[in-house]
Amino acid sequence: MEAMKRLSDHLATRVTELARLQKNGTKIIGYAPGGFMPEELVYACGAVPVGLVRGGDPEPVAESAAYVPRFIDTFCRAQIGYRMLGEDMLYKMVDLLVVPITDHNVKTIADCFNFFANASVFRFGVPHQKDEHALAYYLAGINALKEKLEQVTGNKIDDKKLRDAIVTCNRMRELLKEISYLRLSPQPPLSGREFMKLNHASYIADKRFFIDVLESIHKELQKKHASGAKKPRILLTGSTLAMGDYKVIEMAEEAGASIVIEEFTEGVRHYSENVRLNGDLMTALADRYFQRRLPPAWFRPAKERMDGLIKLARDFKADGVIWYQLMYRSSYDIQAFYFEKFLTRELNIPMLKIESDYDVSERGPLRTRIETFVEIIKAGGGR
Amino acid sequence: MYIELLKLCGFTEDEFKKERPRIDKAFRILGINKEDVQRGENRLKQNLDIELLGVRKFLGIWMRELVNLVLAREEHRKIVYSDFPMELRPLMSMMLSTDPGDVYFATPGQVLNMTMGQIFDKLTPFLVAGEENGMPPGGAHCALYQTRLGAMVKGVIPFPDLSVIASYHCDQPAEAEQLLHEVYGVPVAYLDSCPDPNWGDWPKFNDYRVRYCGSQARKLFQMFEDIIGVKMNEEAKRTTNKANAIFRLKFQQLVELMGHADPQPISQVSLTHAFFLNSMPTRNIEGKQEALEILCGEVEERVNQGKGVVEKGAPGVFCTATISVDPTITRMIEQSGIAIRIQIPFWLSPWVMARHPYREWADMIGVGPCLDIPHSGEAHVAINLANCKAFNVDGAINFYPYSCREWVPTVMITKRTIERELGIPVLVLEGDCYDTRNYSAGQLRTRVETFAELLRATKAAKAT
Repeated sequence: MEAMKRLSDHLATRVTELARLQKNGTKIIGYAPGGFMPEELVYACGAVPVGLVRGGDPEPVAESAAYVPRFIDTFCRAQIGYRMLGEDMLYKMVDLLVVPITDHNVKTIADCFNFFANASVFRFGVPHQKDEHALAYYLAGINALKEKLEQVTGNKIDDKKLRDAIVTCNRMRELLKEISYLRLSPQPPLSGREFMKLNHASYIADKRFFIDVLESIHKELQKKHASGAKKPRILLTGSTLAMGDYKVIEMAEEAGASIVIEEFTEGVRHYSENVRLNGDLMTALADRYFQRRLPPAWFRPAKERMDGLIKLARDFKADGVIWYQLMYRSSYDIQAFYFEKFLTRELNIPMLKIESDYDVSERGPLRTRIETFVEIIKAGGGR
Repeated sequence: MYIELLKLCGFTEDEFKKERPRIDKAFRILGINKEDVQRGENRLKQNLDIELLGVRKFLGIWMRELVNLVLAREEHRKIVYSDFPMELRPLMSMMLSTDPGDVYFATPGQVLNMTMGQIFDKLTPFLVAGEENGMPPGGAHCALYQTRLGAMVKGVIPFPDLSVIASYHCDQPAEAEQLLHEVYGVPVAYLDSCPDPNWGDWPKFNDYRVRYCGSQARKLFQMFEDIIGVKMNEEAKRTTNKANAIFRLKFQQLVELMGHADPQPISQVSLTHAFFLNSMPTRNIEGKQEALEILCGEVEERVNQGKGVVEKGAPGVFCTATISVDPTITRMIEQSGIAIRIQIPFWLSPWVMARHPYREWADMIGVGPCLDIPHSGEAHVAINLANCKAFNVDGAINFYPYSCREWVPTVMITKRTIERELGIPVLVLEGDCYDTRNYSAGQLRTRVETFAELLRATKAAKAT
């Protein structure tokens, strides 16, 4: 696809472009993913947000051992490693790193960037239950973030700028959702890997350019005719699906399955809801980013997330679920235990649980397990 | 079979006779046999200052709680659980609002650790059952919560009617209790907060965080009222506050007495029973205060006599190994010729004692019992540093429980900060406070002995 080629070229030069913008005075605001950081606030104060979502490489994980013991989520250790290795300019160039504190794994990123890299870091908290008090807490946190961003950039965030930023981000999310949901069809017009690359690009690409690309891709995909045999349809879920960590998707698709939806922070949770433009805009951001957002495994009670997963599996007619978690992300490890029982009871489809520490030696056994899982589904072990 | 053991735990002949049917029944359910009893006696004699009456009385409190815990379902209408590191005062206030014969309160993980772990070294069946029922091995899950889950699943201790869990310290208690709720239908009250202050904020707390914690506490008390059918009363709160303050301040005196004495008068292992009662809601308030008074007097006597468990003039360290299950690690450090002056979180810094802005415990829930880790990584490092300074130590042993999500993030930051700020060496040891299967004293001994040599050489060089 021509649009994909344009996006790829844009991403190849994006860091250079960001460096140029920074040289001319634009602030680059990095943030730890998790889905609780409203990018709209960054745009509204004239800065550029970049999500630090890279992962899947073993070297940064090894590097992180000098700064933090290994019993922290692999993705979080990788973020520390990328920063300390200093090879990825994106990790070094941010003027401020925003870390929504979701648990101690993510907090570790903030602590290590502060202490070992002497970086400027801003934290705000994300409660683990949804109620009016928790919503007020989150709102207080993003109000503090707003003040911090105004202070860092020297620009006030007014309603008009914030509204424009929301409209832009809403449009991006809307297009991502429309493209992703094309996979509702029996023969999806794009693969899971293709979609995830698009979704990851949204963390780094220039938003207006990206929207233009998404519009082109959406048009092209709508014209694409379905072909080929029907493949086993897989819902992929778990803790973090980082940019560059495509091994599970690739192995599943190479084994003849089709990843039809990804329930991750970097998946459907990223684009499923839009910000409502009525009323106070900060409250609207809190409503979208906290209250209506599909919850991760560490939210309580677990029912909202489990019901959400079942609904996705049902809507996308999944034949099986691959649960992909990273080492030491205990909330996902524990939830996998009872979700599998729930899945069996509700839909009677199989689940494969996979754990990764971004180690190359995992690949052989992983491939065997994934291929076996896909074969089981093909042989009728699914629905 | 176990008369000698119970004597070591401070039971008198009369108490033993009176309690015997209950003890028999509880030990039968727990599967404690003759061999276990023998092992327990040996461990108590080898690792604790068992000749001290104060130590024996504390052991007795824990042993009685073990029996109460195992028999709780047949002896009480309702059961409420919590566990370390939950702030004690709300639990104790709720407990004292109820009739002792009606509602049972406990922190079962702690009770099992201090008895089945420390005394009998018999936790493995519970840990394995916990691993098989939702907290799998290899994932660095908290062994304290694996133990209590395993004991419930095996039917050794009952499932509670309500579980009260704090997530402001660590992620894992709430994750484990969510499992308990989803799989076994146990109602859970979560006390949430976020360790989100920024680097440089310590020692300030933001007010909206405290307000949020207050709202969590109100939810908890409402849930308690709805499920247990009892309203928390003011008298219970007053009694709690008074008892808690008396015990905590006396314990602080004991810790300071120990920390400044040379030679170190008793093993730090002998303080663990008192320390963990700071978060275990026992109804035996007078008993624990009496035990502490006795222990303080006995330690003072030893200090006056110049008696100690480590040689006089030995290098002193700050140590982060508050190990409830395996006393041999702390003993091994002391036997290597290192005086453990202070262990975190035994000692409360002057800031905590005098300057804490939130006086009401309902507000303080949000900032936790030792007030550092629940605040931020920066605070944790600062408190570690304050401990080292206050007790003028020659080095530090940063023993970190590998599965502790709140401890692990700042291990290297603490090491570098202490070394840089105070110019003293820090030894990092990886271990587990609640599970003896993967880490043992023998495995760590070589490193500790080498560190002890380094400290002695440095101390000698400074003296000349």
